[in-house]
Amino acid sequence: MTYPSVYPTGTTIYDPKRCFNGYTVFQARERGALVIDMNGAEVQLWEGFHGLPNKLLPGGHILGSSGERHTAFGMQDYVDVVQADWDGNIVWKFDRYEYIEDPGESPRWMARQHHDFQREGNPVGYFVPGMDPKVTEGNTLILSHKNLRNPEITDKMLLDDVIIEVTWEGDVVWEWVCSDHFESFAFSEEAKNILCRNPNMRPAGGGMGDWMHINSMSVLGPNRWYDAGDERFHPDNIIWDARETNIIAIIDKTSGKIAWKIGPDYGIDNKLKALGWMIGQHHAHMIPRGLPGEGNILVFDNGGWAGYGAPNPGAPTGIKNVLRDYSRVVEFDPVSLEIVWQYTPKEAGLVHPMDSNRFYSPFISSAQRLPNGNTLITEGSGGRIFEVTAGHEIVWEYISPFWGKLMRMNMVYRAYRVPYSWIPQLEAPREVPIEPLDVTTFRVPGAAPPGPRRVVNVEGVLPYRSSSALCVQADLDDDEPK
Amino acid sequence: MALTVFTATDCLRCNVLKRFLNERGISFDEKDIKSGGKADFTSFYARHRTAVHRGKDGIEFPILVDGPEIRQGLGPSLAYLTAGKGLDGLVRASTRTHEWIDGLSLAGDDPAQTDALLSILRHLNACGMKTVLHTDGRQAAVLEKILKENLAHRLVMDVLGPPGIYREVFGNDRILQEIRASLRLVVRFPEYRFRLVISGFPRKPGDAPAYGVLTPEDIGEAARMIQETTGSDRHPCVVAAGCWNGENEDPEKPRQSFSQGDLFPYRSRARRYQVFTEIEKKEESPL
Repeated sequence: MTYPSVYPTGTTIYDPKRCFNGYTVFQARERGALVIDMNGAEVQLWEGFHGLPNKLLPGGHILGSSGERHTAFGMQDYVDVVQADWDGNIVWKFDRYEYIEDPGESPRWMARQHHDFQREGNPVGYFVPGMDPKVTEGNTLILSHKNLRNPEITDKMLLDDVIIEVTWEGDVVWEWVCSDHFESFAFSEEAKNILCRNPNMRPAGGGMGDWMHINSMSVLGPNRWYDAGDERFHPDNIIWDARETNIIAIIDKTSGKIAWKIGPDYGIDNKLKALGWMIGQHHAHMIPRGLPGEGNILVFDNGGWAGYGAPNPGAPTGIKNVLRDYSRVVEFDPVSLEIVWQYTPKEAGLVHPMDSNRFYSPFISSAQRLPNGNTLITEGSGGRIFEVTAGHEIVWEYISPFWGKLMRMNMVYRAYRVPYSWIPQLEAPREVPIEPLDVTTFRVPGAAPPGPRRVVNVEGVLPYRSSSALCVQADLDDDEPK
Repeated sequence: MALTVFTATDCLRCNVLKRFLNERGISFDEKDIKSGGKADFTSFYARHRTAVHRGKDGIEFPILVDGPEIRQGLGPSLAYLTAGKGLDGLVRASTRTHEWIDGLSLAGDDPAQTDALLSILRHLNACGMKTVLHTDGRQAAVLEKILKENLAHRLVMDVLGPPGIYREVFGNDRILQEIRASLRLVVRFPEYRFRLVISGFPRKPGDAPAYGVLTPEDIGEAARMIQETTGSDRHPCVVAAGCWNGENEDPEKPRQSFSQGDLFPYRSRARRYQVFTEIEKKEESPL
């Protein structure tokens, strides 16, 4: 999050031998759905094609949306879910979820999709060996919105999250409404109190409470927990996470009930305390069978500000009352809740906590497990996509050069890597290694070269010492001799 | 035997019932449970637990007692006083609170029943109550009278199927004229809702099976009938799961019902002609 005014964009680090090489797709800010190769070449842009997110399908097809509802009336409502082929032809489209009549706008059907969707055949929407999503058939799970009132939560209009299952023919055959399960989330009385008074009110449509804000939804798929008899992890069950409540939950596909969850309170037992608070997290999903870490849950834990509870100086009314100024990617065992792998400021080589905010995206972002055990991380707010090894080395990095005119950010919501074979229209590109620049010697044109012109000595100076001289305690202090 | 009315102090519905009794010069013995009548009610309740419903908010008053006849709630009490047992089944205890009252149904074609129901509606209206009225659309003329006199504030109309079903069940086209007339009237009430009820019905002779449940296509056609009759595809509509006994309505067979998941194809079909159609929630009151 601490950026200089000038820095390179595009691919900045690339070690082909240690990467899972392929194409990366993401929504380039206010440009469209973009596919880049490992060297950052923009191999195809579906111009103006929206996506929260965009996902590739085998055969060079792409999923996304034709556009967003007017923001005066809707909050992140995408009008449809569209599948287009390599040439931009629409192959499949769904919008018949709700008929919307916004003032001054043409009445129309809308999917009200937001944040996620999953095509049958693949549980998570990214490459898994042997689990290709269906391209010419199959149902699609869609995360959507519905406005409703629920007096158990508040008397205010709610922007609720719903998950629907839609057939290839466009019929809705399953629906799950989040607020129906309010009591199952076990909010504290303090949380219920602030939820009642302010369910995260947003101004769209005259005011609506985006109380849960689910931002990820995927299927568990086959997994070792269910094989061992744990019904909570039935392969058809659906996992989601919600940034406003810090909850990660699995719902039983048959009954709709909450089968498993962590949050909203991470202080209620030692396991959760050891896992640590999830804050405003994104893209929580079970790593699918066939990928390293299968069965574990992988999540981009943003930090930032989220949750409902007791007021504190950082949250005077109790809304967004949990705060943290850095991010972490966590892979954990859903039964023991033990952390199996993580990428935090410490693994990033940053001095914690002073420099931790260099790995920080307080919103959006994601993490994809790759077949070689690497993890593709989207640190979204700064438009940074990078691939790290299990040993936390960065082997590929890309900075989005696409700043918006309407939103002056180069943010990337979520990026996905697919193998070259998913786009048969293209020949596999040449992979050119890029050594990381040495930023201590790299200079822009016109800047002076590094190194002092003259060096003098002062008698009696002492050697530099470690971090103990900093104004706040650093984790490095723990390593120092006592 | 004199009537007994169990009431509660400041209970709006109790006052409406007492006014009805007083206006007609019917004597009654009032037992206010908050003002000296608690012991009597406790004793009465101990002997008649099965006749008194205790909801999540407690026991609803008034309770009217006429010897062996017990009626709980304002609607059933007024119905009993107006028509004896004649309106049993057509007037049920209200699920609403404050000035709203539901549980009133306009059905059948018995003029005596109709007059009694109108009498009750007029009294409720005069007392400032707001009524939710149910209809199956078979009494368009009465519905028109209710509309003209502003006797119902919300209308809920059950639509029992597409035109063909009405013809099949009632054996003539006259019923369809009646239903279409009601559809046109319902949309003129201040608030209204159509319920597309999925239920069982006898199929035409020779069809197999002889008894069937409405299909999503049937419900779609029912929604289409509303659209074509009223000229609008934007009415408040819900798909509601009815119950049925199965083939030939055999009372010995267990009643079947839909799960929530079964209803989505019905909603999809209905939305082709009524775009705001939703699925009626189990706990949802009629409007």
